Amino acid sequence: MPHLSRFLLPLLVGLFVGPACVRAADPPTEPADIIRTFEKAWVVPKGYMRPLYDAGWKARMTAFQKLAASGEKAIPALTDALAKGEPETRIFAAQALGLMADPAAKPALATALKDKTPAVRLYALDALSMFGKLTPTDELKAIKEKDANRDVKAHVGFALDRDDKPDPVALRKLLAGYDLAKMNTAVVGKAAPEFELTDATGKTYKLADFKGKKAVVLVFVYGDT
Amino acid sequence: MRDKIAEFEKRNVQLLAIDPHESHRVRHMLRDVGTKPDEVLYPVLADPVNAVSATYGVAFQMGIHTEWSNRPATFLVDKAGVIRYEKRGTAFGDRPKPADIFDEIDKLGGK
Repeated sequence: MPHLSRFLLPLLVGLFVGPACVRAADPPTEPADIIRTFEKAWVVPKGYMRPLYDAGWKARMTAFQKLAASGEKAIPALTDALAKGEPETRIFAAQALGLMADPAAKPALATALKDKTPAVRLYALDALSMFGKLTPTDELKAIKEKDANRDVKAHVGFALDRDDKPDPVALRKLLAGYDLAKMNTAVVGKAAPEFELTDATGKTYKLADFKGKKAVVLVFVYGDT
Repeated sequence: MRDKIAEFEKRNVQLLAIDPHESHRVRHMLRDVGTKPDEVLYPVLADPVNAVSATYGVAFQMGIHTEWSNRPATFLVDKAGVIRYEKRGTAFGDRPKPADIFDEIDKLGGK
């Protein structure tokens, strides 16, 4: 019945081949795939500074945003990566779980406090403090006094001294809503990308507040400048 | 530093620092150096999810203090909101000298 195949064939192609092609071209949306894509793109640089041409940082930001946007299903994929991944994957997962701040990740983060890679311990401490100031348990006191890494010790201090009420839902929303097309759009001769951020006293600043009034010098610091 | 801030004020320029952490971390750092948040000479803005740092192309580029942090970077934005100068550091502490920034500000001729 040739007439039937004339109808059936396009239908079958449309149903199976078509969507399959679309899927292949789409960026990954399943949390485990997002993590795998990050792992391939994130090459650890020699030394402590990524070269200017290196785009690995974009892969990190992209993965964080996509995981935040994929909601709670990101949590099991991240806790799995935190337990079983290579060191850079575990570091990424601990940092991501801090940004997601989902209570379901607490047991995995508590286990990660014993990770052999210092940055995993450090980001796990940050992540655990996303639900509020931590209480000084014997374990935390021991880390603060004896951890082999001084930054990990310092982060116990950050977690114990937190002076605010964290709002993880708002942070997750902020990250999930970040438009990745904005990455790296600050260019000399072009309009400076707009932002709205809060200072240490809670006062909010917008770049636009200064338009027509003052030139602005933006200095990107890292906590010690 | 206070003198340098006066130089910025004299030139009618606002200095804003952007830190890729939540603001409790900024306050902790200030406590460590014995400064109250309202005594800071210029605003230290918290960029908790690194969104602004990523937009300016500096996020997660320097491994420091066992974290992936911002590359040291400085941008000069004129009164019209246009970026007129940038310095993206390639090492820890690789920042323009204050005199270089003042030169760049003076080149704007008040714009």
